[in-house]
Amino acid sequence: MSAEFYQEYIESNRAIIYKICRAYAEDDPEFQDYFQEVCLQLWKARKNFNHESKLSTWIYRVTLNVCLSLVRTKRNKPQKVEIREYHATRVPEDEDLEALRLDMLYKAIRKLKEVDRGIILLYLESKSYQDIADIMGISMSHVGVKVNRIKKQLKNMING
Amino acid sequence: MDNMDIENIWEAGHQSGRNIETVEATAKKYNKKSLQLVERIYRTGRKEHRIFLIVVGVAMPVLLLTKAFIIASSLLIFTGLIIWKYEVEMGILRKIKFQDNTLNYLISVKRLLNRFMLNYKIGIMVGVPLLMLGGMIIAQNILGKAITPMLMDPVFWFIFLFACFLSIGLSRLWLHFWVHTLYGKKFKELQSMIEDLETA
Repeated sequence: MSAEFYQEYIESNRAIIYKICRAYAEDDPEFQDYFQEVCLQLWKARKNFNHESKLSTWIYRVTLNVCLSLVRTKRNKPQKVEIREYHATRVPEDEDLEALRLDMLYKAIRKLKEVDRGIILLYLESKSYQDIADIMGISMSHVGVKVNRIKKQLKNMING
Repeated sequence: MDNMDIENIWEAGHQSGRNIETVEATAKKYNKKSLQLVERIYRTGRKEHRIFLIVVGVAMPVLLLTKAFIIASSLLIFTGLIIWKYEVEMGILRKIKFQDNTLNYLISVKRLLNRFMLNYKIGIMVGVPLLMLGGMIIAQNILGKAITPMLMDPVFWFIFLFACFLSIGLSRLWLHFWVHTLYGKKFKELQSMIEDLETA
């Protein structure tokens, strides 16, 4: 992986990749795996980026696809039951209320259906309905309906 | 929890003190800095090496003119070793590439520098006693007096061991002073960057 690629593709879009990986990964080691896999796939797919869309949009798409694919692969594998306390990735201590709320939001997002996670992440990242529709491959009107439904679902989960 | 909008939670959470953006900002802040720091270490190493070669260049003719051939040849061997070591060390340092993680990069550099230091420390531990033994053999030839009877005397060994410990201690002190003067600030910076990234 060259330094130029790393700088242009990964560093400048690191926050996007982090947020998506965090929403799909169950714990820290898994998060690391997801992040590495996304970087690897971005590296492999870099020649497919045709500059028709914004780089960040393309990164969203690839990252979401990689995470969805990893989640599906994991689901098809036999699960190991492990007693482990989950410390969310790079999440601050409990005293930080805003970070705690964010942690709860991530946990709630992780309970959503895989595709719904992608939609809400894009929505929270202030992507337009058109962009969300393009990235997720669904119609714009469907995005609106979905977003409202998911937001309601998340609010219920967070506010108990 | 209060009835908060998820948009607000998302926004505020990612702006709060120790969130992923902060981690990212810390990493970003150090990306360039870490590369510059390693470059500075590399440049100092190069300067140090050049100074050493200049000193040898001046010392060698003086030694030859004063017919101190044994010291001159020892210096020549030592210089050869230093040149070889410098090339190897700098080659390894250059091989560490900044890949996908500033922290990993800095830790790799720190490990490598510690390994270099360890090599020097071992070198002193082994080299000093060998040098002293060699010195004795040379002295025996120069004085034309056999040292074999002295080897039977326990006092001789006591003095020899004491001299060894003292020389090792002084050499270690000199190494510490030398490294501290030339690289101390850079090592401190390296350590502080690593700590900062680890706690971010």
